[in-house]
Parts: sequence; C-alpha cells; structure tokens
Amino acid sequence: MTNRINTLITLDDGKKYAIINQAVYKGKSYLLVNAVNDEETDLLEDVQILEEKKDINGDMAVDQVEDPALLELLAKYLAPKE
Amino acid sequence: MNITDLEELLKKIENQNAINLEVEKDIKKYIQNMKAAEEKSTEIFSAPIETPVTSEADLNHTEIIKEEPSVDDFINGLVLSDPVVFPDENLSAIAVPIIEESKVEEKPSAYTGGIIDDAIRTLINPNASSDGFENAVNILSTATLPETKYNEVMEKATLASHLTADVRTKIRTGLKKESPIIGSEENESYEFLVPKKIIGSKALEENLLTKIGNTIKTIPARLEAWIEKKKEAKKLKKEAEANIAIPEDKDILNFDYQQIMMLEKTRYSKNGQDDEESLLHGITMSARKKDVIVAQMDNMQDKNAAYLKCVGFLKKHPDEYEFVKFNNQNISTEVSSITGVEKANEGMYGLVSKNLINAINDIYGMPIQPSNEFEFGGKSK
Repeated sequence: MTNRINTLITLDDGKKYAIINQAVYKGKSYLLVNAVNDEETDLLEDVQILEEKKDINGDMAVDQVEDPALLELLAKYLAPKE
Repeated sequence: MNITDLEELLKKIENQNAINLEVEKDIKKYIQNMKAAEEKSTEIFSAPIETPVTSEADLNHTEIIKEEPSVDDFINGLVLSDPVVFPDENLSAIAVPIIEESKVEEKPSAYTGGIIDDAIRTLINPNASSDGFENAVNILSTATLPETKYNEVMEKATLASHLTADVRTKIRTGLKKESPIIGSEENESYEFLVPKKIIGSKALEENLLTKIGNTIKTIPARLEAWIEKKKEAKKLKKEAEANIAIPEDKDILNFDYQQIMMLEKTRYSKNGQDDEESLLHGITMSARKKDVIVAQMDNMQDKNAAYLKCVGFLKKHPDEYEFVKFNNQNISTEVSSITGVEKANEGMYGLVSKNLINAINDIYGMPIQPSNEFEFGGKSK
C-alpha cells in the first residue's frame, strides 16, 4: 500500500484529486479527497471518500464508497478534526 | 604485479646484481608509493560510518507502529506521517461489503480495460487497418463488460457511420453485459467492477497545501453534505423503482404527439442534422411518462421504416417485461411530414439505437438488447 497523503492523483476520466487523508480498514485503503481544477491551482467543492484498489489488469484505481454505514464510519476517522 | 611480487623481484635483482643502481632505486621508490597508497585506501574504507540522525518525529513514528495505539491516537489532524490504520476490534460491528475477487476473475470475458478501450478506438477509427478492425470487432462481439462500458461500446458502435449493418449486428448480438453479483447490493457492487484508473500521482504543490490548510475546517461539513447527497440519491432511486405506474391502456400506447412534435422542433432548431434523433427523443420522453421501455426490434431490414421497428415494453418486475403495442403508424406519418423518412440512411439507425439505449438506460438503468424473445403483438417469453 502506498502512502498517498498530500499527493495529487489524476484519474483516467481526467479528474484530479488532492489526497487529504488516508486510512486502511480491514486491509483496504480509503482516501479522503478534494477535487482540484484542471490547472491544479484551486480546490473545488467536491469532497468525497474513495476506495483504492487494483483493477483486473493490476493497475491502481479508485472507486467511490457506496455503503452508507461504511461511509459514516470512514468519515468519522478521515475528516480532519475541527 | 602487487607489492609482494615487486619486493621479490627487487630481492632477485639485488642478489644477481644484474641491474644498475638507478633501476633498483626506481623500483624501491615505486614500492614505497604503492604501500603509501594502500595504507591511505585502508584508512578511507575503515573509517566509521556516520550514524543517520533520527528525528524525534521519526522515533515517535516507529513507536506508533510498534505499539499499535488506539484509533484516537491515530487522528492527528490534516497531515499524517502515515496512513491511519484502524484496529479491527474497535470496528468489528460495522458491516463491510465483502468483495469476492475470485468471482470477478472467474468471469470468462471480464472487462480488461486496456484491450477493450483499444478495441473501441480501433472500431470507431475509419482509417484503422483491416486486420486491426477485424480483431476489434471480434473482441467486442465476444466480450462481457460492466454496464457502463457495455453502454459505451453500444453507443459508439451505433454512432460510427463507417460501420456496416453486419458489423453492428455482430457486436450488438455478441456483446454481453456482466451480471452485478458481487457485494451486498447489486448496483453498489457493480460499481466495484469499473474503478477509475489512477494515471498520475505527484506531491501536492505548496499553494494547494496552503489552500487545503486554509479550508480544512470546511471539509467535515462538505464531506457530510456529499454523504447525505449519496444517501438521498439512493433513496430516490429505490422509490422510483418501487413506484412504477401502470398505463391505463397497455394494449395501445398513444403517445403525446403534440409533445413529441414540440420536442422535435426544439431540438431541430438547435441542430438541423439531428432531426431523426430528435423524433426518438420525443418518443422516449413520452414513453417515460407511461413507464414503458421503448426498444428496437431485432429485424431492421427496411431502412426507410426504422421508426416502425420500435416496440414498447411495460416493466412488470425487474426481470419481466410485457409487450405493449406501439401505435407507430401515426408517428411515422408525423415524422414524414417534418423530417422526411426518405432521408433515412444507415447513420440514422445509429442515432435511433443511441437514443433508445440512452432512454432505456435513463429510465431503468439497464438497456434491453433487441431480442427475438419478443414477438410483435405477443408477450415476452
């Protein structure tokens, strides 16, 4: 597992995300991300949690976490404390 | 020749007295230089290696890993030196969907991103080599793909005007969609099969780090809003699926021609070349009101009668569709008067297919492949 905190990732659909925090739960890596504009100069409103995984070809990929219970759990631990 | 050899040689020279003193002197000097160099070399390699300085933070970090602290100990604010690791015992009550990877791999034609994407690119490239094109068609007509990728292939195959009807049919009938069988809920688990690949990764620039720091307080609220939005979307989708209205007269679907014409005109004014597409858009919009899926018949021999090959299916259950008659003659007449059916060409089929696939996908999230299972005037088998 790669530590991706404070990195910027680009996905194959062109979207870019700043990794704000990362957690491993039951062997899976979850990323708290904030979308970044194309120019990589500004943060967008979009904040979400992604699951890191290998796709069938073995390439690293991310997917949205859909399970509400898991999202609540991850948000509790991933969101920066105010 | 090393020092020992030279000394041995020098001894022999001295004993045999076979060389003059100048040469002997040179050899002695050479040996001395070699010895000095060797000593210096030994000094360098035997010097103590500097112990790397370990910062206090590093030491603490090491301790954290070894001691496995509680969850709260890991929450250190924005910037963490290492990813948080949740101790399972604290979270064991939370149900996490189990992804059975083995099932994914066992699929005979599971989506293999690069190959499929390459095949799509080749398929829609009118200048592709004949071998490459044939290979792409073979790949796509035998693949089993995730829903989104399946839809992409169907759409692009129908829109590429250089494709022959035979090629389209081969892909349309051969391409299969994967069954969403993994995970706790079908639609959720399906998403796991189409993750977005990470194609680049680099350290955040200083300016973005600063901006994150400045907006860090807003992140919990924004994250919460995103989660609520996802929950709401899921709830609405379930409600929509549970409340499918049944048309009063399911034997004959009388579409709202006025609405169709209005939609058609609106779209026509935006794009004069989109007239055939707009008609189907109108039909599907009208069909949506009646909760009927509009699909194409499998047999489309008569190009000029493309519209007449549309049929409607009433969704009774997730896996059961009842055929409903489609009062298409009137629609055909209306179309003729505006767009001119005589202009129909192969490209039009693509537009028709695209619209139907999109419409069905919009309504139910799953396109129906044209199939001989449906008989005109009968019921689905």
